[in-house]
Amino acid sequence: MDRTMDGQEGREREKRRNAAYRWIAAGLGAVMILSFFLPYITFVFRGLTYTVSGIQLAFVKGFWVVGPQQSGLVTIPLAVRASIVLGLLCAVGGFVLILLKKPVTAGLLFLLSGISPLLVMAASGAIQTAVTSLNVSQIELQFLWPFFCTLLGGLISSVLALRTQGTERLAESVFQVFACVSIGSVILLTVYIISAGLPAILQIGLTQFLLGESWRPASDIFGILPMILSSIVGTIGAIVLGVPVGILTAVFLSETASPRLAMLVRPAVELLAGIPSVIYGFFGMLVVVPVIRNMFPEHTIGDSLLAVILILAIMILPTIVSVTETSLRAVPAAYREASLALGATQTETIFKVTLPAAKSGILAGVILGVGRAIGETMAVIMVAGNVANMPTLLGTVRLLTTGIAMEMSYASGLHREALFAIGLVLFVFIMIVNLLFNYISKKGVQIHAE
Amino acid sequence: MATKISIQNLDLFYNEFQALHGISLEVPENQITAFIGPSGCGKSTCLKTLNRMNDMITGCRIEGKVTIDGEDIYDPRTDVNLLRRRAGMVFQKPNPFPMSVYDNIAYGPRVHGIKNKGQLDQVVEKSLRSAALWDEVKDRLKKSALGLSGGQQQRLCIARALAVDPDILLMDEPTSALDPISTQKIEDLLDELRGQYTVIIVTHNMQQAARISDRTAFFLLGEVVEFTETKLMFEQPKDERTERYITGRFG
Repeated sequence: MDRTMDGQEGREREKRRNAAYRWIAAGLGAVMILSFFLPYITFVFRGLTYTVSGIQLAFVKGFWVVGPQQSGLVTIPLAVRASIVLGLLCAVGGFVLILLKKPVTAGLLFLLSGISPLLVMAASGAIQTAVTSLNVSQIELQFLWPFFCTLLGGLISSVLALRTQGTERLAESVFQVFACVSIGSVILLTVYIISAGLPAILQIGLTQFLLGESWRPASDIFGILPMILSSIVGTIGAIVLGVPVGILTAVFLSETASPRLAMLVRPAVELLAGIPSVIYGFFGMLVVVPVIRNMFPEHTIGDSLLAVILILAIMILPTIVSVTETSLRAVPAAYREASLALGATQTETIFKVTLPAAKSGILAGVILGVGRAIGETMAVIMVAGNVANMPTLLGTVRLLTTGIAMEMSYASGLHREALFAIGLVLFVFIMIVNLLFNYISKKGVQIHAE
Repeated sequence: MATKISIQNLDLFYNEFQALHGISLEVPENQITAFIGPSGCGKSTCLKTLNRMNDMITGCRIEGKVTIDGEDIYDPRTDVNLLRRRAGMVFQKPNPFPMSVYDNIAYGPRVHGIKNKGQLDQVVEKSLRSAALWDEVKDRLKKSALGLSGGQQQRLCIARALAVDPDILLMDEPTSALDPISTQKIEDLLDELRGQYTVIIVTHNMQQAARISDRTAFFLLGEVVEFTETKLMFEQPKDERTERYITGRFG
């Protein structure tokens, strides 16, 4: 009897509390909407102060800046405009929906709206750069309190809105939000890479860019075929060397090593994965390169595709070993028993039953290794020689990654955009590798589910 | 009846734990011998000593003597792979390889050096026929064995064991994961194999032991309590513990 009374009372109390949360959230939403119309950012330069409200950021075309030598229109980046408009719309939507008692959607909208000032902040760096390029120094950016109102109001009201659904829904929503953050970053990055890389490709011409054999930024010649081929050959070489070693190490660890020995070897291999790539580069510079130079003194200075392949082969080992070992361990003991009971030796069992049964997992490991090899930059820079030659085993090479890293610090104009375009090509490569990986690992799951 | 397998004073230890105590059994050739007993009594362990599958368990140690056709199988000179080829094993859960039906059967012969396609085809067909599975799978030899039903998979495993031409078949509760109809088929199959192979079957199902075996050994707490003709054991058990177990009054 008492308990039901308590329950009813508890529900009543919760109802009242949720109503309160809803009203507070709605109030904060109203404040957010208002804040877009209040002064947002102050730009200070050359003794002058420009204060811009959120709504102005969205609709004003830009600032006409009169510099000491040159003057120009500093446009407000599209990203800033878009995020302001989106933020405002989301805030209004959230406000309406919370009053209509749709707290989950309202919460998400509030959150999006709260994120928009962060996007503005990120993109306003571009304004600063643009102003600086007009030789106006000492510019300052100040974000004003309405700016933070939007930010905090969005976060708090979204939590409150979701809170009216009870803690369980709140927790679910939080997970959802974090998932959205991850997906959002991927989408953002993809859009950014494409928008940054595509203009240069269009300007240079796709075939000239991808199939051009020489890279001479000074003469505006941008052909990246040597880099593409070097990246591909380097990766294939690393795979050819690293995969057999990695698979056999994994077989040793999971099938034949005594538990005690495996306990020594496994952490050692895993440690390889944790070593920073610049250390691999050191090793390559101080050991691998001189050895190659001494072996073929007539033909090479040491920095070469071969050195790249050797270093990458070592770097992909831990990935291949650990993924392969995991999938070998996942092979049911019954398969091994059945094979041994038929009179097969342990070696026959490993090569004819266990490894084939684990092949989808092993392939997944290899593809992860490919991904790592394609993307590796630092260690490669230190041993590749970095001349954009067509790949030969003992010649110096430049890979896609190193091509970007070598020149990014001083490139400007089309050259800079061409580097972004190389990034786009690299991105497409990695995408393909990852799609392949997903396809194969899904297939693996299907086989086991049968 | 000639003795095929002779176990003399077999003690088996898992590290400190003694799982088998002084087992002595004379298993006659080309008959079906059943091992029965409650769970954990050592019957499967005893079965696995006969093809040395216990070798793979770390900490497993054996004292005593096991001979097949008079040869000590724990002699250091024994070729374990040859032994396992002679003593095929069928496990509790059907465990076909994730390969085609054909490759499952051909696995053993290939491992033992048969490369000739015609010869392999012959072995596959013969083994599948012996396991009464040929008619059901002859049209899907190239399909994955994992697509077969549980009962078919288990008969496939029997066929796979037969394909390396053993003279002993060790079966570790081969029907415990199967439905009654599949069980019936396996029992019929065993009946047909009688007289050609020396079969030892571990079973929890006493009716099964009574139906198919010629001789039965009753295990209890790592010892053989009674080993005699099946008929005798089920009609006139000598030991009181045997009687209590087979009449279901075991406490």
